[in-house]
Amino acid sequence: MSGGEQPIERRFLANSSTDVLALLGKCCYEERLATLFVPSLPEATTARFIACTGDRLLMEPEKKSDVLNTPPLSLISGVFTLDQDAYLFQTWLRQGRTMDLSKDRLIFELAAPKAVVSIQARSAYRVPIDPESEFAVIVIAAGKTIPVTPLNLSLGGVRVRLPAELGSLPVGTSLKVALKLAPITALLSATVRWAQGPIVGLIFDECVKEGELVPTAEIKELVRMLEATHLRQVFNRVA
Amino acid sequence: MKDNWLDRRAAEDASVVHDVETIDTILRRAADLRTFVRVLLPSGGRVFDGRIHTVTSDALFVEPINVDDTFVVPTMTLGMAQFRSGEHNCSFITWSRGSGEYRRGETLTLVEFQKPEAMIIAEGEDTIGPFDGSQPTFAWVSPQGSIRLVARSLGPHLGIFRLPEMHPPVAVGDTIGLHPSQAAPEQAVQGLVRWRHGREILLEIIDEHLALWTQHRHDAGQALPEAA
Repeated sequence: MSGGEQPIERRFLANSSTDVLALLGKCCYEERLATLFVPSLPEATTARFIACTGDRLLMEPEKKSDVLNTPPLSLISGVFTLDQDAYLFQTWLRQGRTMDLSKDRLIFELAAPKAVVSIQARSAYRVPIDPESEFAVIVIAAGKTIPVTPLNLSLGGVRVRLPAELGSLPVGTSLKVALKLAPITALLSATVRWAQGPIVGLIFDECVKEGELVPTAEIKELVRMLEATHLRQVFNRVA
Repeated sequence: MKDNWLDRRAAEDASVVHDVETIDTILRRAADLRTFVRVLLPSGGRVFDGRIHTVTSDALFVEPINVDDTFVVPTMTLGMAQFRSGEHNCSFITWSRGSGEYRRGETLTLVEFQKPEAMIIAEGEDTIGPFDGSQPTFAWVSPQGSIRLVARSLGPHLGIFRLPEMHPPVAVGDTIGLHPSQAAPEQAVQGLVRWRHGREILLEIIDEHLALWTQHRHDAGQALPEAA
């Protein structure tokens, strides 16, 4: 797969201390929860963002945790969600004991994370489409019927590669899309949700209403059939 | 003046890798070595251990260990995984594509994850351990005689030890001398107690004794099978 074909699904905050601090600051402002994970401990701990300075991150556990008994400098990771994305940070523990900031609050003191990665939240599992698959997708836009290459399919949309002569489609473009895999054929209204060159993500208008998935019976069946095919291919690969 | 030993001893900053080929290389090496991985499923706070089994162009398979027949990871479950690659601590976040049984000569339970496209890599210190709590042992050269300390993990500058049930008083700020149980007392190194919880203590070895400590640490690592 060439670099230009890489789908953009993740946003990275690679060692940009300004971005990371802004992100953590927002989490503290909203007192968001994170799941903390110390590799040496068998259980995760839930803690709330409290404050973040240039070099410290303070978090308040929801209940007493073994993290409190963990040696300083222990590796610690945290997972949290914000604005529908999930984030992971990795840092180290400064204080493995409680700090009494306001009488009865237990506080973890962590080194401020320098590296954070995020992953786009999804409303539906995306089934990868094998290039040899008989699954066909046709886009109908501006009076043209255009066969496209499907890359993955979910209950809410499809990612496709447009033919080179078409270039790209602007985000927000409304079109029709036909999905075919014998014996199923589905004709749906769709909107371009994102685009990167010839790779575009289409959302099925009929299948997502007010942020909730309401897939049609045909889409459910198509996803089921393609998922079964994918799993058979996975089986072959692993075996 | 405040002693900033924590900052002095902290590992280098973590960095983000999002080069697809680099991530692929790291994961395939981990699969070749069946590297131990700890997986967190944040929804519900579940944690399971496994070994990295297979890497494909778009998927990563983990073989869970010590799980029962009821073990299942649904599709679309957010997962965070952490493993060591050489001296690096690697972690990533991704979506599961479900778990199931696969036949590969024998029947295996595997969890499929979407192959991560970003990874946090921390250049952690070359710490040996954690040990299982039985070996290796060091002798604390105490005024009351030789006190046996069980090593938990041994880093380039730090060691975590477990004290025996009966031991002389020890507090953060104390300096104690210790040597491998099989070595002579003159091989002792001095360490400053930086942290204590119950019978667990963290020692920072004084700079003058680091060369000797490095040898002790190496010997301890040679004497033991690699811990998970």
